[in-house]
Amino acid sequence: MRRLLLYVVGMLMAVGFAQAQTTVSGRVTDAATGEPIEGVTVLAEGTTTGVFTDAEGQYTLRVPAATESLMFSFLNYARQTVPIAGQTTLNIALEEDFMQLDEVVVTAIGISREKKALGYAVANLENEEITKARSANFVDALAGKVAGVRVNNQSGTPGGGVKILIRGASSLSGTGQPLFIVDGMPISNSGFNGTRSDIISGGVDAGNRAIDINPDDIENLTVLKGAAATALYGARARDGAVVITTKRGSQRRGAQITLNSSIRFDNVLRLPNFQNEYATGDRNTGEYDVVNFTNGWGPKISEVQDQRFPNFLGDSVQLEAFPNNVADFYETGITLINSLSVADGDENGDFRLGYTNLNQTGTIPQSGFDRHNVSINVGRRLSEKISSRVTANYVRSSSYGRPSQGSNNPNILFINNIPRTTDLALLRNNVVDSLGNPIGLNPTSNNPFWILENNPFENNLDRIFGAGELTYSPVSWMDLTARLGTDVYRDFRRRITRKGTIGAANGNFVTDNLYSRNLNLDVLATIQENITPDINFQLILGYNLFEQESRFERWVSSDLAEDNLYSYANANQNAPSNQFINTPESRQRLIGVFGDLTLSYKDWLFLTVTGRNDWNSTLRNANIPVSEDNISYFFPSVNLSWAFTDAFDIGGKILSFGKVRANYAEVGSSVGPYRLDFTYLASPDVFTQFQAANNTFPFAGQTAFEVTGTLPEPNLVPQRQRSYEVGAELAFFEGRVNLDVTYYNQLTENQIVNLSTPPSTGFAARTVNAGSIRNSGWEAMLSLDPVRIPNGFRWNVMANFQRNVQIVEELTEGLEEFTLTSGFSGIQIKAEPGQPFGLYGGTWLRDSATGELIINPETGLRQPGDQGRLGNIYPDFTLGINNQFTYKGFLLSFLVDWRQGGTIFSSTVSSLRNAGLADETLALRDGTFIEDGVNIDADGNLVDNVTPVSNMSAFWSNYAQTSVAEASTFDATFVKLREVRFGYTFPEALLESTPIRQLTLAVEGRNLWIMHSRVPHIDPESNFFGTSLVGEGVEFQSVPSVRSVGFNLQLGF
Amino acid sequence: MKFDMKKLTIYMAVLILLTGAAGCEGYFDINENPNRSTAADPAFLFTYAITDYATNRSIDFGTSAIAFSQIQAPGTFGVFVNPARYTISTNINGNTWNSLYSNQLVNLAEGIRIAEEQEPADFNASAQCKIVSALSYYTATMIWEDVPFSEALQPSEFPQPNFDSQKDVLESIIALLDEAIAQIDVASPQGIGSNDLIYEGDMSKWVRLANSLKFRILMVMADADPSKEEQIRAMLANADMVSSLDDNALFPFQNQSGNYNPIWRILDTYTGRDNQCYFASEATVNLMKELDDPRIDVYFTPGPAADSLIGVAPGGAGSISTSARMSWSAGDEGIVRPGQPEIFFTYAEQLLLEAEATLRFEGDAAGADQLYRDGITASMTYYGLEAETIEAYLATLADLATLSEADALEAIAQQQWIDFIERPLEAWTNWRRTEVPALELPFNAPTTDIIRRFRYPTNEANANTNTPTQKQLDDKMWFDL
Repeated sequence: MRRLLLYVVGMLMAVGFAQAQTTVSGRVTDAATGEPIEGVTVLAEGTTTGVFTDAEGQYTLRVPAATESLMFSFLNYARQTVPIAGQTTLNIALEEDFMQLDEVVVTAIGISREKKALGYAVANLENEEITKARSANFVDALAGKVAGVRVNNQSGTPGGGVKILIRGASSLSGTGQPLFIVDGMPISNSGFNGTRSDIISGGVDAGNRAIDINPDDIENLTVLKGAAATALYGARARDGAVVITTKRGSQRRGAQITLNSSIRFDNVLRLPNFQNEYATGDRNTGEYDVVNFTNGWGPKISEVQDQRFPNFLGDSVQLEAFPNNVADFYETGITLINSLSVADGDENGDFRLGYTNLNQTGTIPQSGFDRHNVSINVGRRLSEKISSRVTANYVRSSSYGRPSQGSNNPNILFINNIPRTTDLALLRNNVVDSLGNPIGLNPTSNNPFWILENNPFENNLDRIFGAGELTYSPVSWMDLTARLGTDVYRDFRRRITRKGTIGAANGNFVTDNLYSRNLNLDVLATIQENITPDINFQLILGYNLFEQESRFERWVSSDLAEDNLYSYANANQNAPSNQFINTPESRQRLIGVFGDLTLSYKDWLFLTVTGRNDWNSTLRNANIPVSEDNISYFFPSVNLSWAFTDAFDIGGKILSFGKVRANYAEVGSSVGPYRLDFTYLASPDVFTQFQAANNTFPFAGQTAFEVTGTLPEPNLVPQRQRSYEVGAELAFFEGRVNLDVTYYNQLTENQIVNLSTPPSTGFAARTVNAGSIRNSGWEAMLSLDPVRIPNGFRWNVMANFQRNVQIVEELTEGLEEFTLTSGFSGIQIKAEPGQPFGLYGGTWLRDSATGELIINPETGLRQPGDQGRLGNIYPDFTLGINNQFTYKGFLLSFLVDWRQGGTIFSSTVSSLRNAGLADETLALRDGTFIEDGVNIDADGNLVDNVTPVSNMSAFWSNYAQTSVAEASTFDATFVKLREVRFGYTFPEALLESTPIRQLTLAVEGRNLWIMHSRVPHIDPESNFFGTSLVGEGVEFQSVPSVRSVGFNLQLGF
Repeated sequence: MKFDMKKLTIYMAVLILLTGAAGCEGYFDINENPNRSTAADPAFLFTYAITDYATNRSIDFGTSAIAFSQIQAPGTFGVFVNPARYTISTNINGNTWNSLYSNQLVNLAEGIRIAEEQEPADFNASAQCKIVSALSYYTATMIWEDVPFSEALQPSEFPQPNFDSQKDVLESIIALLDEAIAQIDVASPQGIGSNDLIYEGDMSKWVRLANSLKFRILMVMADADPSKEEQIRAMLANADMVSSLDDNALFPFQNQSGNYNPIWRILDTYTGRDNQCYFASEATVNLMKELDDPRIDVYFTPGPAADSLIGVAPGGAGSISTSARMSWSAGDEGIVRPGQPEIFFTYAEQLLLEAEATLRFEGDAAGADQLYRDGITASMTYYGLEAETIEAYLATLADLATLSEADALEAIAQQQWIDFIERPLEAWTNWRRTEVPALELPFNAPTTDIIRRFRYPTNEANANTNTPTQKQLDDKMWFDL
């Protein structure tokens, strides 16, 4: 098998030629037990020549003549460097070391560095953390595990979006999503889902492209958080970077076949609490009415058992509540994840081929997500001086039945709003009448099963990404590396609305074609040399070229002739468009040159200085010479790491290791393309609030043009972020307690924003450099082993804390607030100086002095007041605590995720209350209710309100009205049991007689329990803006989040 | 091998040569949007603006205005019934403001600029853009009273435009119309041409429309500014105004998918071509019954019960089982139909305004009566009534000369109301001038009086510190005494 694999590798790569000088061999053992250690890396220092020890701890290495010493390293053991000094046998005893000071992490541009040398905070996650209780989108796995990173699930849609925010939102524009890099190739994490109005008025949660990354292929992942960490990436990584290294074959592990299978069952995590006492009816009279209403304001079911009423089919029935009619709508989603990989390696190369299929059915009937990943990662040493690596990934990701969210679209499943007396089975079995015409819930509402069966959204995406890399080491002190990569995908999306759908009687279908291509070239020279035995310097010089191209075409085809035929020619009206602001056909190019100089002294003091200059086409104004425009910008960074315990040699039993670090960095960033010219566009249509009523051009054969809605600024300058960061890493009691604390402070100035202008200027917005935002905060990571028995029971507690304080320092002169994004009903996310981003919406009318509600003396109802701030959208702090217990082959871990603070508006809550379907609307239906507040009497004095409301229907319809968001806005604090895994790895001794080398079985769960929340009816973690818009804190008929429980099997051969 | 500076220099030089090649001039010159143009023909801008004007007038503003003006009545859908109870949503309010300023006026201003700057200048096109601008500004001031005019549409000089008083806005619109009239050269082949969806390039009709719009504005101003009497009389005497049904300014929605009248489109899309959205109001039905007006059969479809031409009470929602609805069809019949034009101005409106002016300012009751009857005839003819039916109806109406001036003015205002069945802005504006017919406050209205204005929309108020203090929905405007 192994030979075969190597043969394949050999076919793929040119045959190398090796030059051996001397041979060193020996045996590596555990210093405490004397047992041999398998898999220790033995490396000729200063080269990439190395081998692994075998099961007996033996190694044999041919080393270049110039090599002076060998380096021995292995996980959980202290690294040793031993001079060869002419010997041919070196037997080494390694000491156990849990402090992991020699940990090597991958940093910007794929440069591996010792963690000790870094003057900034990084977080590193290994494969097992990422695949534990995995979800379709691997970004989920970061939740609660990395200080400074906040992960937010957008909805329970299969393949739905996951938003990630590193050290808070620093920008008034853009989405704040970090740069994703796989094996050195920056790849797209686009969450593109059409325009804002597409998203809020019936858009689906189309997810973000990080979902195409297969967690099974990830070896490890580094999160680069601050500007100092990402400085070498330049403008692209202004919001941080997630640097992923995929798995490789290895000489140590040899030929391997790994099978990993999971099955998981998804259920809706939280459903609303419904009342089950009242039927639907006229909210004023309380009379039963199934034609004009779908609510809970009709007669009390128990009081009308002597009567019969028509149901939605017109059949006369006795009223009966169906308490589970909503719950029964949802299904148990099943996810199957099967992954197979083969890998091998020898001293001249490595090889890994992986295939994974993820097949998921959603909790919403007839919805699902399916992904196939094929990945290959091949490295080959061609000679002592030349080595190469190729990584390639093919992804096919498809989804169907993603439900519409938001409002204004007939395809939204207002399943929560069906009357309590509706028998779900009857709905399911009566989708169409005998003539094939749809039977609505009433004349204005679709049967949800009609939508599920007839109006699907589907997408198919094909994607290829990968890179080829060549390293040439002409001399021992220099490596030259060139890496060329690409990421190309094509996404075909279609949303169908069948003829006969209520609200879209003539049917329509929308076809989107998305194409995206990234090209990246990095050329690096790494020069490393000891100036004196104590002082080492490393200089990296680099060149980067990055091109991005995307296209987006949409066809809206409506007024279908033949039923159930979705071809363009079958539509009486076809409206193509390809001119959305930044997405139509967009191209940008960026070139950067950079340098990174690290000086180290005695392995305890490290100073790194970096600089990068970018030239970006998006700031190129064709009307002026290149020399005069703003396409070039420079950003420097400096960071310092001082391992003071090593410097003073004071590391002891209590404080075993201590390091302090500090950095300062400046990062610039530009805008999307085409933002500098004043343009006219051929209008596709005129806009109205009833989208179906929009008139399209040409009108009566006449073409129309309009000016751009956003006034451009021809002299934009790049946005600039200045940041500093200080931190400390401390290890106590020989690594049983590890603490990593960071304080950072970053100011992002000269933001490039589309500022809302008064429409009376003729423009909705103008692009300006304006505004600054400061994010400062604390991150702490504590790892603690309360119990650790050598070769026995270990209890590890890992806690991640982050508190980010975001302050909008200033906007622009005369501007008091800036709207980042908006939804329906006056809900807005805004920036206001002196405050973090906030949720704004309608508030109640209050007496300004006392804050008391001003009640209308005639109706007894509170009254709408002005628009106001309802709260911060971001949390005060988040804390993730993972407990892990291991004993022999057993492992139990559970992760609790706590989010404190923030605000969420829930349209689901508002509509359930307005409709009298929420259980709280049962209170006082037969009683009298007087709102606590004041009236203003004829003389303008405040007097206590004594007017009762006419009935509770009037109260709730007023209280839950959409224009007063305050009433449906809640504290978004939650505590969740995020992940649980219980697994058992069979001891190797048991498997000896089988071909199986490794066998692990596990039960695992994700999003198991909302332990604490103040939001009624819904999961407080949802956001309908998705990943492509700024802002969160709004839930709008979102697909409920899911709870997953399942089994995992890992088999290694 | 030891570190060697010379070798390093050589390697670096090679590297820079290899990579520097891509950075040459022109590599970054890709920042011009391939899907946008840096120039535009005024005719195309005109088409956009006027289509937007017609569409907003018909649907976003119109659908709310038919409800709160009580000229028609809404169905049960929230978006229709809320405005009837004076809950004016951000969508209606904000969309209408945006539509006027950042869809219509800005494009018309660009059209004017380009037409006048191009070689040779096209003053006919410029004048056409100005006349449509006048319509947009007039709409804005009739909805919000004080609105930006002198500082509007100049984002660089006036990023936060001041609001001009309604009187100044109306005077400025008159000046704009005068400018347009003076620019038009009827003999010239220039102009918007085939993109002129209203008059197909007939510039003499544009002159007449401009004069009529000016006349209407003077009539609106006449209560608050009695000095306008003189200009009104001068225009009555010799202005070239709309003078036949052929001069009606109609926006030609098409019986063609994508270009349907948006009101029809709502029925087509949302309720399967059944009218569940547009109903008869009590105010209109009762008035027409009282006058035994034959247009009642053209306007309305009775409810299913016998003798069921019942209008919807103020603030109520129509029910298909009881109320009369606006007549509709998928063909050419009825008020709501695919090709129903959006009416900007008609000969009937002109004649009824002239009747009113003649009575008030010339004291000529006989002349007024003739214009009144001609106006009714023009309206009924437009709605397809036979000459005999019209004659019979006219015979039932009292001669204005036999009535007191107040009663005669009421009779004219009643006819204006009935004529404005499809034109809620005019119905509402005329009602604010005349308070005919008597309207009741809607059920559950948040005000103590009939709605007289909108509050400034939040998108303008939030971004413009010069936005005046908000007034109440029932506070009267300057023109409305």
